[in-house]
Order: sequence, then C-alpha cells, then structure tokens
Amino acid sequence: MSFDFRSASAHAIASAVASGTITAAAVTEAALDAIVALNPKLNAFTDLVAARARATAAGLDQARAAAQKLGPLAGVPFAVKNLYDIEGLVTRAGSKINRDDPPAKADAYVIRRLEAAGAVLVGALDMDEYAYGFTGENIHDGASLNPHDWRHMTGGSSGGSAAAVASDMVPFALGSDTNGSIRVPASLCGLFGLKPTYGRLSRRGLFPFVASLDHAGPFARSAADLALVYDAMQGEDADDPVCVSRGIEPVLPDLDRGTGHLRIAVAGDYFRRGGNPEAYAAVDRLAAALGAKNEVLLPEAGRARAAAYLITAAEGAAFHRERMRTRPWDFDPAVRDRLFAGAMIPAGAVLKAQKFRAWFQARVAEVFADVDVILAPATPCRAPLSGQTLMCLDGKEVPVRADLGIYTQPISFIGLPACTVPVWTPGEKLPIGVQLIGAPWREDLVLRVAYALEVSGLVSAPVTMM
Amino acid sequence: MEQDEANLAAWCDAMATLLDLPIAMGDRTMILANLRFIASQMKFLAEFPLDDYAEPANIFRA
Repeated sequence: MSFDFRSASAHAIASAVASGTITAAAVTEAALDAIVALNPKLNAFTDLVAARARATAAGLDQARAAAQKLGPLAGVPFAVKNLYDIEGLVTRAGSKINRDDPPAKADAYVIRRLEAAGAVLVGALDMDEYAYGFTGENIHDGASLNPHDWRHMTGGSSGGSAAAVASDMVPFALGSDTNGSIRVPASLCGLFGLKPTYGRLSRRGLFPFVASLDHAGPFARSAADLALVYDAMQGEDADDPVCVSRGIEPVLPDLDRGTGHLRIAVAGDYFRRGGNPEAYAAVDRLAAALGAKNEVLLPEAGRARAAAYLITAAEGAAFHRERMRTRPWDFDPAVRDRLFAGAMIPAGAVLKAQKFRAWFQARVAEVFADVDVILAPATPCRAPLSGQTLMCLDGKEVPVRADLGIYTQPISFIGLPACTVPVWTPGEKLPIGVQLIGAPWREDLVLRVAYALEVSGLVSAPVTMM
Repeated sequence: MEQDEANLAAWCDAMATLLDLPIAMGDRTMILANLRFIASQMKFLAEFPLDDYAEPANIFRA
C-alpha cells in the first residue's frame, strides 16, 4: 500500500504505523532518503544517526508484531538542533570549540520523552554558533537555506530545524528559543513553532546560552502536530532547576474547542512600528478573522528588548568567559566580539535589567486580566537574503542579525508562551509569521487559536516539494 | 562625542585587562561598536524610573 511520507503529518504517520499500514522501518528509510537528497541543497543537518534510527524503528515494528500498544508518535522521524545532547555524539552547539568535548553520555530529557512516545531520532541540525544569532548562518558548518527560496536565509538560531521541517525531511524538529530562535525561523520558513512558558519543558541536556532565558520547543507543519509533540515533551524534571512541578497538562484534547469564548487582542504601540508593512498586514488579516478589534499595550516593550539584550550579552559572556580567554580564535568572529563586549557590562546595568524584568512581568500580567491571547508580528519582515547583514526596516537601515528579533525578545524576556503561525500572501514566494501570545502556562489557548486559524485556511505550512 | 568614544575605548581596554580578555585576538572596531550599542541600551534602561524597593528577577519564574 502506498504511503506518501513526505506529505504526511506526524499524526498520519503514527496512525499508519500503529495500524500496520506502513512499518516504522519504511518511514525511517524514507526520511533518511529525503535527507540524503535534500540536505546538500539546504544544509539543515550536521549529523545523521541512521543506525540508531533503524534500530529504534525495528524495535517499534517488533513491538507492534507482538501486539504491544505503540505511543502517539510511533514511527515519526524527528531531528534536534545540535545543542541537544544525543548519546554518543559530541554536542557541538554550532561551535568549533565544543567539538573537542567528549560525546554525550545520555540523550537530552525531551529526546527521551519523545522516543518514549515512539518518535524516531534521525539526526542533529545546523544552528548559529552557541545560539547567538537570528540568521541561521554558521561560519563552521555553513548557512542553512530557506526551502521556499534557496537565496534566502532560514532565520535562526534554530535555522537547520526550520529548514528540515519546511523541506519535509522530517515532520517535526526541536529547536531552542532564548530571544526568538524558534519563532523567527518559523516565521521566515513558514512553519508552526512553539516557545512554551519558561520552565514548562526541561532543558536538561541542552547546551545553554542564557540560562535565565533559554527554552526548548518544537517546529511542525501543523498546529495539531505541534500540540501532539508538545504534549509528548512535557514532564517534570528535578534535574532542571527551572522546570516546574505542574505535572503534564495536555493541550491536544481541547485543541478543537474553538475561539468563540476567547478574548483576543492585537499588541499595539511598539509592535506596530519599526517593521515593514507585510508584518502588520499579516497580523491584521488574522485579527479580522478572529474578530480581534481591541489593541492592548505592553508598556515599555522597547525597554524590555533593551533589558533582554543586556542580560543576554552579560550572561552569555559570563558563561563563555573561559572559552573566550583560552580559544578566542576558534569562535565565529562576530560572536566572539559580541561576547567580549558583553563581558564588560557593569553589574549595575544587569541588576537594573533584572529589576525591570520583574516590573515588566507585573504590568503584562495586568494586561492578561482582560485578554486571553495577543497577536503580534513574529518578525519585522520576510526572510532576508542569505548572507545579508543590513536591511531596511521602516525606512531605516538596521543590522539583520540583531533586528530580526525585535518583536520576539520582549515576549521571551518574561517567559510567555508564544506560537508562531505562518501567513502567506498571494504572489509572494516567502511567508511571514504572526505570534500568538498567551499568559504563563496557557499554551492550550495559543495552540487552540493556531488550530482554529489553520482550520479556517488562514495559516498553513504547505509541503514544499523540492 | 569624541570624548565619549575615547571613554568607551578606555573602558574597553581597562576591562579587558581586569578580566584578562585577549581582545587583541578580536576586531577592535567591532568590539567598540558592540560596546557603543550596549551603552545606548544601558542609557535607555537607566532612564526608566524604578521604585527603590523594586526586586530583581534573579531567579526568574514565569
């Protein structure tokens, strides 16, 4: 029986494997074939774990033959940003320096969760060095390229993750998001990407960037797949001191409850300036469909971005200090020079940023007393060209590497859950994303809105047959 | 303006010495450009008044 793996959702694959329509082994081989065919063009993968993937798939097929119940992701291939620990592989985190480390002794916690649900890990993915960038470009491993137009960047830092899913090499992938590193590439590559609430998912086995801002999260080609994967990733983990004890709060059962009862608004002021018209047009189109007529103010969002910038630079530099001292020549020069400068930030400025963070969190919590979900642009523009360093936004020339994250940074700064959904404009080859932002721990609501928009046909991640 | 640039360069050199950072291995122009942006963000944030009793979010919880 024929089964079109490359257009199949994670749901469809798991269902087909569970019913015996197709074997996990066949799905795994199809994914490995797609990677071999497409990766030379897109540079999404840095490592393949084919033997492991085949062994995992064989185990699933044996379990089914023995009439054992399979998990909700049975036989679904996936890959992870190369800052996730994979047992037996060196966790390079996009760097040259980490390649001298010993191989990881165990998988990252969330990889174990996903494999326990039946998913099949096939490899590791390209990223900006040490996750310090928004472009998906890497001086050591090369740039990942946008599957919708190879001349353009994927966005980053989880660029390989986005390229792998948008080109249908795998139905889902994991990234990490410190200031926007899932939401930005999801926007530029036309995918659904979820940054959960800070502390929701364990980061054990993820090489850190800025521990007080780092999140794990998934990319997928549909809201339903995103919810399926997110549910499987959840679990309490005492070994990540930030991971909370809330138990598992699945979102899938209520995904199709609709949005009629939800209070949805559009972020105004800061989130309506500094970008190009396509960013606001995408928000307006979704707002109109959702009946979101009200605008809300996240006060001092520009200063929130400044504070996030300072914390990132200082904390990132403190984390990398020994590497900067002993191996400065092995960094990407642009990363190294930012870290050098970050190391010189006075303590008082970081403390002020942390005090402001608490202030901003309290003000935004007040906004959520009257609103359930807020819409905002994910990026200020569509994907710039690969290698482009400057771009024009709102009539000003600005650096690509920093300014792709102007709308994501204030949100992750206070750990709010946010899902990027992909919007397409007729006649345009490249998509642009909109963030659906919720109050802490309300991933259920942002994913519910994402699903409703997808069902209505307003957002989609179409299969790119390359 | 010229004095600001000189102060920034002096700060960069003093901190590099104190922190034992081999900035000669980097691109001085780029390090100073990054410091200039950091200084602008510090100033922007410093202008915002916070209560004397404001607590920092050192152990952050969402």
